[in-house]
Amino acid sequence: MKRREFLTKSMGVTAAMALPFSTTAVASENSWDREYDLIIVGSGFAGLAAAYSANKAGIKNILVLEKMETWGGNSAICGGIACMPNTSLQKKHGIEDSPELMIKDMIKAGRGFNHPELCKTLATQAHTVYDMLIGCGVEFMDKIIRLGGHSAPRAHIPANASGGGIVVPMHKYLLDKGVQFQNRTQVTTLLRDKDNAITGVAVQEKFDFDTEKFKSEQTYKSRHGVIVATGGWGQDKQFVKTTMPIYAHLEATAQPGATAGMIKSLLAVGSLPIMIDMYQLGPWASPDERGAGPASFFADYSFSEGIAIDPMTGKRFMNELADRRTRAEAQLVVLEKGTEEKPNYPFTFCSEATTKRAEGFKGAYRDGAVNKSNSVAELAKRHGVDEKLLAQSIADWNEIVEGKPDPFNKPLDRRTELKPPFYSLRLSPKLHYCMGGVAITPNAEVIDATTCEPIKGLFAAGEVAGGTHGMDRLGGCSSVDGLVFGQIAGRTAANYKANA
Amino acid sequence: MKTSFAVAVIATLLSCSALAAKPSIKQHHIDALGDDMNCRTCHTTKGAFERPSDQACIDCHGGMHDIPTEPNRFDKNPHNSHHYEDLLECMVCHSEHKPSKDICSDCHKVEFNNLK
Repeated sequence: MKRREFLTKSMGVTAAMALPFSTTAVASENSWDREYDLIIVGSGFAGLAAAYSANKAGIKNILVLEKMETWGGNSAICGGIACMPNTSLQKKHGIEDSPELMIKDMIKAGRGFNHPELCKTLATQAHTVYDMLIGCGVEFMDKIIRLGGHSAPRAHIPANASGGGIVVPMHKYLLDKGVQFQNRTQVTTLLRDKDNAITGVAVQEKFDFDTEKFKSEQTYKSRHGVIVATGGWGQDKQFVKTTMPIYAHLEATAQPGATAGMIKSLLAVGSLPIMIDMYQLGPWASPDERGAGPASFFADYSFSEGIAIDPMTGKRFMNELADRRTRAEAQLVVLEKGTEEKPNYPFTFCSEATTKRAEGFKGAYRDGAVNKSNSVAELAKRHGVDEKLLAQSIADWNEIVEGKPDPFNKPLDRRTELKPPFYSLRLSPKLHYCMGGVAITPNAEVIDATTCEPIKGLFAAGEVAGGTHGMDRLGGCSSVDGLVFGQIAGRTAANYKANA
Repeated sequence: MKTSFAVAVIATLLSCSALAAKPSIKQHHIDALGDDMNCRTCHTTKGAFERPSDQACIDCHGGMHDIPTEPNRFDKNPHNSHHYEDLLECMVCHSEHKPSKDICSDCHKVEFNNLK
């Protein structure tokens, strides 16, 4: 039996077990319950951008499927920060930057494991995302900030400091263009024709995520292939534990629907996995809030203008604006010095002046993740640090603010004296992003594990695809990843015709 | 498929029969509509009962923009949130036959004392 045949046949068995009533994985003609020109699975950044560009390319009858009740997945609940070099807004603020500089930063953060063509595609096309978003009615704040590991300020922030400020205007723009959205629909299987091209999906309609009950099972045909834009699987405890056991105990920042269903479906049709066991930890996460909430947004500013301290030594222990992996690993070392009875949470703090410009501060302070200390003594007591050592670290930092070299080489865009009252946040890394996924070409075609060539009719964009960021990624880059490769996937699918 | 259809039919029959317990109706709906409040007030589709559409809610209540949340110390406005604005279906948070649950509290510290 040839490998292809074996895969097809074994898939039939798997699908028959999963879907006892309706279908096998190999779709027979004329058996479709519904037909569309293009089906996009997932309603976050990547899915929306795919619908946008497919619509621009003239595809009619587009259906965006969403498993959950809510739209946009993690894209809707994230901070919506997007790092894009050479936008008109960045130029207006007089910032020198280039895609080449961003590629350098991404490769450094990715420890050199980035797939060069994917990385280059993201950086060089990022500015087109900005123009698309403005065209959809997205508004950005009139400022550009620098996130850790970026060698220029290039982070654009939606006016409402949420990814919702991107996904909602895009969703409404697309509704207006006639794109159809259908939520509570779980895709269970990618369906193929006899030539192994992906021709549609099997779905569970009126799917309830909490109970896993659904109303009916149907098959949908998609004439231009299927775009998978379903994000990561950070909330799939079993999948995380199986792929990377040492991260199994970590809290994840993802929305509850971020499970491994679609990555499994992609693997089941023979997609090539890339770095499937690599996960990113968020270094701005706090044990004192759920997921990555307002306190994480605040932390970006506290890292930038304030410092982070190891309570056991009273000293700084990292470049607070290093890339995420460097910072998260440094924090894990600090945390490991603690015990269950006496934990040793690293903490970051800043002056009041910094809080005034920090999105997330108000909510984080109100909800108790960020606390105010009126003196060094109070701050030392709160975090269990020796007061003298802490006072010395603050004095040392203020000399750096004045111009003395920083042993950690942190870039300083704004020099703010560290003085009371202080606002502090405890830190503890959380599992934030699935670095791995399926392999794609720069045209967002999913690659077949048996041939290393594209699978006909199967496209993927965003977190579910791997390789772009290598081993770890910079902040404000997954939004741009989803939006850039979503756009590309929409165009590629528009040009793809089944059975061609 | 046939099995699930049959189950759905039986469930529908049961839910309307005198033998089945009548699902509870919230007091504010009884107060507002009295005897005019029946299953079909919200379950407007023909045939088997479906989860009510937004339109069934909107016909009486208006859209989210017509129902602003009272200012609160959490600075949360679920009918015009940063994450979803007015895109969500009513039933994401509001239920009739069980307690309603705001999705804000999945992530945020927040209490809505007037959540119906």
